[in-house]
Amino acid sequence: MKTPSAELIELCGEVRDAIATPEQIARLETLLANDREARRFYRRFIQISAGLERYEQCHAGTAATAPATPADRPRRRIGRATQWLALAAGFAVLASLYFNVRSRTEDAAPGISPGPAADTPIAYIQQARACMLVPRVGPPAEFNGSFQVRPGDIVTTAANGSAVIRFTNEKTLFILSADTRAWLSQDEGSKIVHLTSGEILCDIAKQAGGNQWRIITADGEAKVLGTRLAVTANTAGTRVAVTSGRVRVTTRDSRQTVETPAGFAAQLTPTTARLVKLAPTEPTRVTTFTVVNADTNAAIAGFESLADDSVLDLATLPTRRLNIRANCAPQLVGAVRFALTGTDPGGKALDLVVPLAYSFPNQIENYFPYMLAGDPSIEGENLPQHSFPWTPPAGRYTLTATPYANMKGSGARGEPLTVHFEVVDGGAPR
Amino acid sequence: MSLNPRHEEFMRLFLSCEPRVFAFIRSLVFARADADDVLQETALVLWEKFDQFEPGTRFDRWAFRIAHFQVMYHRQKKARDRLRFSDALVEQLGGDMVAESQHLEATQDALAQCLVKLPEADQELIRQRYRGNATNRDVARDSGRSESAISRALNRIYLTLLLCIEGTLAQDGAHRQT
Repeated sequence: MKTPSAELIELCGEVRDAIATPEQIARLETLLANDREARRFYRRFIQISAGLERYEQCHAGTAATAPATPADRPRRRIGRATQWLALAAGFAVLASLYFNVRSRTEDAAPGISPGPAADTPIAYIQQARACMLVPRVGPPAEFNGSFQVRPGDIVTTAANGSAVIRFTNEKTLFILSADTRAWLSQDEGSKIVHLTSGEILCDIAKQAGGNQWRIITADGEAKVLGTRLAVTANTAGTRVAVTSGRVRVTTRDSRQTVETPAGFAAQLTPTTARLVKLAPTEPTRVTTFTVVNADTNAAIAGFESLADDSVLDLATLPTRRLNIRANCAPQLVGAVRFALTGTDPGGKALDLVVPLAYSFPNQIENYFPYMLAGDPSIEGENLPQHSFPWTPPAGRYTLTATPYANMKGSGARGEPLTVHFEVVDGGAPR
Repeated sequence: MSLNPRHEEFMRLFLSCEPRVFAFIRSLVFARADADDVLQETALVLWEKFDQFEPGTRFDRWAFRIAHFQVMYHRQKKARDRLRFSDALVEQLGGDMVAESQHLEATQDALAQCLVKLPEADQELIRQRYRGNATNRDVARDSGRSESAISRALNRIYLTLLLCIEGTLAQDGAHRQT
């Protein structure tokens, strides 16, 4: 390689240091355009820069606080580090020796938008189906079940996928529909969902201290203090449909603002915003029941959809600590009111009690997921990934769940679902 | 999270070339944060299209091609950005990088070897500059030197590293003219 000119070196340095002006970029382009050696120098120069930057970022990723859930995550991180060491043929070993004086606690968040604490999980993904997480650093991973999300991590759902995102220290939740891509970030006073494509249903709890939620798409953004809405983004634009409360929607380029009340939708493009009245919707309904392990909220195999006249044999189930989830369409409703009755094998009415679910067996669930025996979500505390356990006594049961438009079982009543099932504890059903 | 064999295989291949893919992207995208975004998008696309990858062929070359597309897509989204090379030059640089992709790993190995050969003062400057996303301004403030002095010192160190890398590659016989 021939010795590069002082000008080329200086310009490459300006690019490296992110201080190059448009004029310097133009000059650099001129130098590179017709000079193969100059391009080669530029590539090598930037490769050195990228090697140093990337090593730092990878190092920061592996040094991050070990994630708590699920068990795979720490294993993946460790596995990744091991593979890195092996596959980088000594680079990481040397580099780690080289950088061994650096303080891991001083690692700054990589990237632009994730916010000041990119290594700290800000949300949980729960009940994920056919989901993929693309972390800020590292390879993408398919997952089901539960996972922690850090700022900047991209979450995608497949054509048959969905996921519930819940946030630490508040009851806000988002449901990602199928074929959806989104990521989260936060800055001072705002928590932000970036919806790249697809649809999210939002149930946003009231925010304290003037904080707000922002949902950003390629067309604009919605600012929310506490309400229910659905945001859809596709190539035709963005639609913000508000079912309760009020949402301020702003277009990206023209900064046109539309106050969108309940019952209306804002249709956005980067330069236009149009308010339309929502068409009367199909009534909400309970579609299925799922029997879950109360300690994990995971579905019990074979009872993902509790069929009418099913038999639950406690002796053969993986756990006796059960709960039953009502699944609604749409997934978010105002509340679900349960009604459960049962008779013992002798035909006598059962006295049904779950200690912490005070209104059981006629539980009213205001927050997703809608659990027959309730769950311990408490505003201001981290969200649990379990629910109250119920071990049903042997007998025959009738379970009905009814969705409502508003909290506490008020507002428009949706279509209920009733199933009959029998519980036995070993042996044949009656 | 399910770690099925297919995903394990993807991870093995992706992790083996991730730093090189980042270097590839970084040479075409000026802002580091933008480069991080493009890398993340590239990882996503690689996984989504992993079924199309033919085992036995070079994963890194495939990854570079995908990364190149993602860079071009990113440029479309940032069309109003004045800090950018022309499409023609990006195509040229991208093509050059793909062509020399087989040497990138050796280059990075050589970089690691060359780093430890630097004088202690230079090593310390590199540590300061690349610790926790520090900027030249941060380093200048901490060291009592001017920003331009830091920039000039880094340029000198980069040149030293570059010559060392070239020499190491030549010595190892891994270097080919591109």
